[in-house]
Amino acid sequence: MKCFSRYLPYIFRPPNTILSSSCHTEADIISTVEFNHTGELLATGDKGGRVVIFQREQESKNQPHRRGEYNVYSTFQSHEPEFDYLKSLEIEEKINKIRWLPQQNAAYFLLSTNDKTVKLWKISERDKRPEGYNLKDDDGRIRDPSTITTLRVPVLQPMDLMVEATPRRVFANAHTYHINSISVNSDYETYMSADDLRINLWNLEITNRSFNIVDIKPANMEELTEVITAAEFHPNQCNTFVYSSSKGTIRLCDMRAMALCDKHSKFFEEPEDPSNRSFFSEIISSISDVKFSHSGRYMMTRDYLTVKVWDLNMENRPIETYQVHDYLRSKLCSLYENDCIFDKFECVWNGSDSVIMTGSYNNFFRMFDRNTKRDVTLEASRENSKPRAILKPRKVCVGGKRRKDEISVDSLDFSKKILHTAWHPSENIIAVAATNNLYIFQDKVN
Amino acid sequence: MKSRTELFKATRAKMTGKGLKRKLPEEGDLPEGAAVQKGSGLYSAQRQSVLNISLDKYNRGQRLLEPSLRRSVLIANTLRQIQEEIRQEASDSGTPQISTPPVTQVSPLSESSSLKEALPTPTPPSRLSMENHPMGLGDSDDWTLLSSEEDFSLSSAISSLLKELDVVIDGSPAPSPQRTPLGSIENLETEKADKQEPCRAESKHGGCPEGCRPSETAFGNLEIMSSSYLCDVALDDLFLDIDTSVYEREAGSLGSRTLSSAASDEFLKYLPSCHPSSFSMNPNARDLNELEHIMEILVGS
Repeated sequence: MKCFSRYLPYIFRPPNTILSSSCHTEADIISTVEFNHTGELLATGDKGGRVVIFQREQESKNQPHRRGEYNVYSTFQSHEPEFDYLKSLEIEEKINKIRWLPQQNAAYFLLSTNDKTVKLWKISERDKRPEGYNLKDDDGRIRDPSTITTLRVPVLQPMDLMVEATPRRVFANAHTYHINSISVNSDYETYMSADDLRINLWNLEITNRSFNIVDIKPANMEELTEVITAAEFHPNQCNTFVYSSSKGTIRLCDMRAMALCDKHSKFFEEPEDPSNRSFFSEIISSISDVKFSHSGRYMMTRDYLTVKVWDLNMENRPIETYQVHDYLRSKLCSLYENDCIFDKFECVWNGSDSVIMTGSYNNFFRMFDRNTKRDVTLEASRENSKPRAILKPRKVCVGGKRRKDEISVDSLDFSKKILHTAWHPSENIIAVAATNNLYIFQDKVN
Repeated sequence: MKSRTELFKATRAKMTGKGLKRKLPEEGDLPEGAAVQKGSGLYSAQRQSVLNISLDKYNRGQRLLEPSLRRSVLIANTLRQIQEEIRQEASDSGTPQISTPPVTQVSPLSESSSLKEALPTPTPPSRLSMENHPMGLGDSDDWTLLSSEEDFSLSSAISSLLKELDVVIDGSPAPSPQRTPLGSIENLETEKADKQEPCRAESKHGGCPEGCRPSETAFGNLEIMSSSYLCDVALDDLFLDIDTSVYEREAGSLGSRTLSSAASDEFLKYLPSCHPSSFSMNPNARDLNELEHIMEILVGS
């Protein structure tokens, strides 16, 4: 676990002046974090519908100790609040998920979604501008035709780098319920969007139609007992995807079998441990996130108290189970009362699939090394993280004597939750969203 | 070392910062995490507490304009599980036969949203209907509900009826107990205690005796719709003052199930004609008073 003992904290917080004028702090709450495929860019979405993209500085020979830091690259308003006139409901502009498309040319593309609408954004750089038009001034004013005596060809002149984001596609009106996941297919042509009861398949080029591939809505809504909580495409097999449910099950579907994938190909469920049964067993078994490993051989699920790693070839139980914060098991009733039990934590793999990470309360996040079976609890906070300081492992004490640096369960701050984290695809750089602050930690290698 | 009670209280203070009023007296009678034997009084107390919290949560959630479906489903399932357990214990202990409502009455949807979603989705003719606007795909329920004008007027008439009846129930000054969503359980229990055999398990705040069926009013107003005071009255009489010319076309009174709109089917579900044994509570004493109230309101509207 050598690498975890040395992390450099960089704290980023988008200054309010750049973002929307409302300056309401609630809108700054980060709701999703995602690295792109090379790790050069890091996108965050917030509750106010904004997307902020950070770009890693190129490493310079002059300052070798200053490995690439992330700076703000682009900021744009992705979604606006909308009003559904049919149902008299406001549609939140909060960005639920961002997913990058693999880069195919100089521009970057990402999908961002709120509860109802997915948008494809193109982020491109402009560092040259044409000058010397014939018919208009450099300011854009039309020149008086009588003053034009010669013909010239406009020339591209360098200008200050400008990053612009333009919406290229808007995929709307396909979801009755709230979208919780989007996932880009490895064929780079299609993607899926999943809401509570349905999953739709889209072609990235076509916005006015989508295929419905999963529908678990019962004929009689009174019989509804299960909803879809997350969905993802397999990283290599473009015909395979999984979706998880609120009952703690995961279904793997093959799109080659049938157009409508209501019948799963594989069904993953762990039998319940009768000794742990409580009134809240079902609620805490609800899966909040599912992620395939980079290799495509495993998948990881997060429920309220644990992270589980599954082998895709074995359906009856996970191969590894990690306790995230088992000390909360005795507090479930209180957590149910204050709604914390419904929090949806995400989980991520590192680039080599050897370490998994997920968030917890009190701004703690946990990492589990699958090989050494060791784990660590770290905290994302301003007080404890000076620039270039090393993150100290934290410990929660369950009962009995509390050691000096430990924190007791009752002192945990349940309003400070880390739901969203991201891991660089190849390096040990992690991004952790703590309410409205984004922390980026790097492994310090001398 | 702090006592368990103090720890518990401290946790409470920290964790219930959302202003949710605790219904349970904090006498430390509910130590969290204690391994409780099923069937013990403490277990019943815990269960009752969870039941109350769940009901409160569910009702609050439903009052929101757009309740989170996942949350509603999870809470509804928890309630169902408790209901099942209680029913199981009741039948195991051999108390006199109590007819219980079908489990399907416990639904994650309130009346208003169930009316919206009421139209049963026939298998969409083609999942790949490319010509239509995507909104038409499989989401026909919302659209067709509103596209058919007569259905719309019928469902709006029914929903207003339901609302009126809710008002009657909630605001009734009659001697019947105040039926607020949470209060209903306690009230049911006190009534039941009078009418049925003495309770087996007692818990501090009049928690559910094993013969009790809090499930009946698991969803507050929704369940009360099926109370038997509508049983004795011919349905036609109730709706005398409503212009039924619209409905006549549907070949039958509201009592029949031939209406095309599934919205009315939903409504009918809650009438005891469909579930004759659903509500064995016998509020005969209150029947007349409440009936009067209903009639007043119907006549007035």
